[in-house]
Amino acid sequence: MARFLFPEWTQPLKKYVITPALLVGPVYIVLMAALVKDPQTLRVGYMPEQPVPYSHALHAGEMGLDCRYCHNVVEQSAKAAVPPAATCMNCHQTVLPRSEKLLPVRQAFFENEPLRWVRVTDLPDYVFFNHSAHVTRGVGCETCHGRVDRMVRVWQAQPLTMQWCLDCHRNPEPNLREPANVTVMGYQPAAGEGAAVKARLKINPPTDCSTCHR
Amino acid sequence: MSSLDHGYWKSIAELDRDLPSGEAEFTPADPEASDDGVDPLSRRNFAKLMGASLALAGVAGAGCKRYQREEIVPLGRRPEDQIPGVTQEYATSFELGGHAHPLVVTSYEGRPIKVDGNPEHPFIGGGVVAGTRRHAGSSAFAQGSILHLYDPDRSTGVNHSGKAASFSDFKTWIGELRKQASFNKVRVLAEATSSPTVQALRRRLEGAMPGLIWHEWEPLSWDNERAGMVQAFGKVVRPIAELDKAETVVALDCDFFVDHPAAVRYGRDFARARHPATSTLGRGRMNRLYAIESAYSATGVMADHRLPVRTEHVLPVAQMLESLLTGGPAPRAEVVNEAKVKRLVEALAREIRANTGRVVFLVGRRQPAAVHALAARLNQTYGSSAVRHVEDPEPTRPTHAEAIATLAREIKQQQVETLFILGGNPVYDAPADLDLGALLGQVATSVHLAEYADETSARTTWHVPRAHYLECWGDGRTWDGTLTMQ
Repeated sequence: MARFLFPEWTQPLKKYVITPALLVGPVYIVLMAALVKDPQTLRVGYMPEQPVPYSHALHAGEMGLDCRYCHNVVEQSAKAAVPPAATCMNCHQTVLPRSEKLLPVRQAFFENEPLRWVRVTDLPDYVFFNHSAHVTRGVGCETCHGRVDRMVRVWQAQPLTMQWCLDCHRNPEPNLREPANVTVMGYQPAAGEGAAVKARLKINPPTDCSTCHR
Repeated sequence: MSSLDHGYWKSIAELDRDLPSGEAEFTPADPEASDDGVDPLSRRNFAKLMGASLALAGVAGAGCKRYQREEIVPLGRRPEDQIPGVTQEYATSFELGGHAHPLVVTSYEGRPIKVDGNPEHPFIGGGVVAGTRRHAGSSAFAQGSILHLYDPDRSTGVNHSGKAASFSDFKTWIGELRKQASFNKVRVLAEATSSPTVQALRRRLEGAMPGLIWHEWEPLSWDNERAGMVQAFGKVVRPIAELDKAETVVALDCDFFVDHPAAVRYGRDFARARHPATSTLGRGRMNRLYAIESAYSATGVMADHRLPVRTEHVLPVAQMLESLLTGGPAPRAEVVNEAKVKRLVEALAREIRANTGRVVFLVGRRQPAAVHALAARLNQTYGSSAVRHVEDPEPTRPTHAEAIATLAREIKQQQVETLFILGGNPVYDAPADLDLGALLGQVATSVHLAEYADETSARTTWHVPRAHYLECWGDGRTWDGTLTMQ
């Protein structure tokens, strides 16, 4: 088998490079897969560019608009629903009516040329999440979406993995609050508030597969 | 024929012998040479391809890719009451054979996804269990009608002489037509409709285009029943059975659970009198259904007693029944002497006498006017409290068969230059002896308004796509005449 004979000088390579690589390589690959592919690394902090530089920090934070002013169907629908441009125009007909940045909003409103927002909080298509089921039972907006009132451009605050969902479904009390306060940011529940809400609203989060994968 | 023609051989010697002349003889392989990548599935090729695949997978995965970028596209102005992600229900109606069927359509973000019966419509009047909305029915045709809305085969554009045209071309042509001095050679062939709006538009059109003649053709026609009612009552009326009050139901070649404009109502009423525990006839009682029919139908399946007879024998069997009940002369047809017919008819006659006033006779649209007239007489005597009659909205119109025959005659006599075919597919479903498809060739300009470019469209000069009933406004009347919005 002449073709597999290597010159003498390659022997140190074999000893110091190839053998260690074969030993360390699998560990490296597993580590990279675990760390780089981890949702914490991959998705948390995802902050895409949006067609309109809408600042939640300004509207929800500084000016204190309630989340439900724009996401007004969140208590009735599975979707929180990005508002129609008509909602923006309620104010922006008089506030900054000529702003260059708001041109796409006016186009959507007057010319029926819809805005194309980029989805930040993106669950896989085989997962069904119902906003109304959570919001009316006292899961705060910030629990999943983070401190949106401090985000100039929205980014993903939580990993949104199945493990993360199930942690709460198995032990919801720490994340429950009085449903009246779901939109409050930086909320500190009173001691025993979660347990009280859970008992009063008979919250018993299901953990069977078909709850979300249906 | 050598064995190589089959591509197989049993030994090297055989292969050598059978090789066609001029080709290299088979030599024992040089192991080095055979490893030359000739065999596409060699070990080396396999490793090469796998290596390339793995390398490419690495490239794709190395970018630390997130999910596919998705967009959220909200409406510029959200319609009032629409909640994204929540279904809405709209009351509407669907017309089949010129009769409206009241429906509730479920819509998701503006797209209809499900059709059901409207339990609050007066003609449907609740679910099977009185006082509930449960199981307010709809027909299979209504259920299927939603599929047309999304059918990619639906026609999408105006067609002129086989070529795509625009709607403004069509409007231009209509504008020229309206400038004509006389409309004596303009005809309309419309499918049956119960819509008062269409009737009003027809009157306006006839006023605006004097000379225009409007014909109505409908393959799902109940004209035989109209003729029978004229024989029985001297005028066109429409019988409406109240099956929840009927002890005995006799279906004479009538599949009233499926093939009837009131099928949904009849099915519900029949079911209400069927269960002894909740029967509208009284606790512990249930109705009895006799089906005398020529084809196995859903009604025949439900029947307690089914008598299969040929279509043309339904009349003598019904006459036999009448003669047993009223003492009149028996029919002379052979069929009434058959033992199975005799047994059933005699038992039926006894039951009808016992339940006088609560017997309903229903006759199918295939049966001639004589059977309808006979059933109307029997209903008057024995079904007085379970059958009522309403006026027909168009008592004077010619029958559908007469109308289309008249049109065919007019075309033959060169009296038609412009023909509008509104809905339907008459080339396919008109009586074959008229040969309407060939006759359309004699009409200078013809227009077909239809959801599909079908047999009729292929023979008309214009084809205009029609809106689906879930895409447009309209109205109609149910079998009992109740006005219904679409």
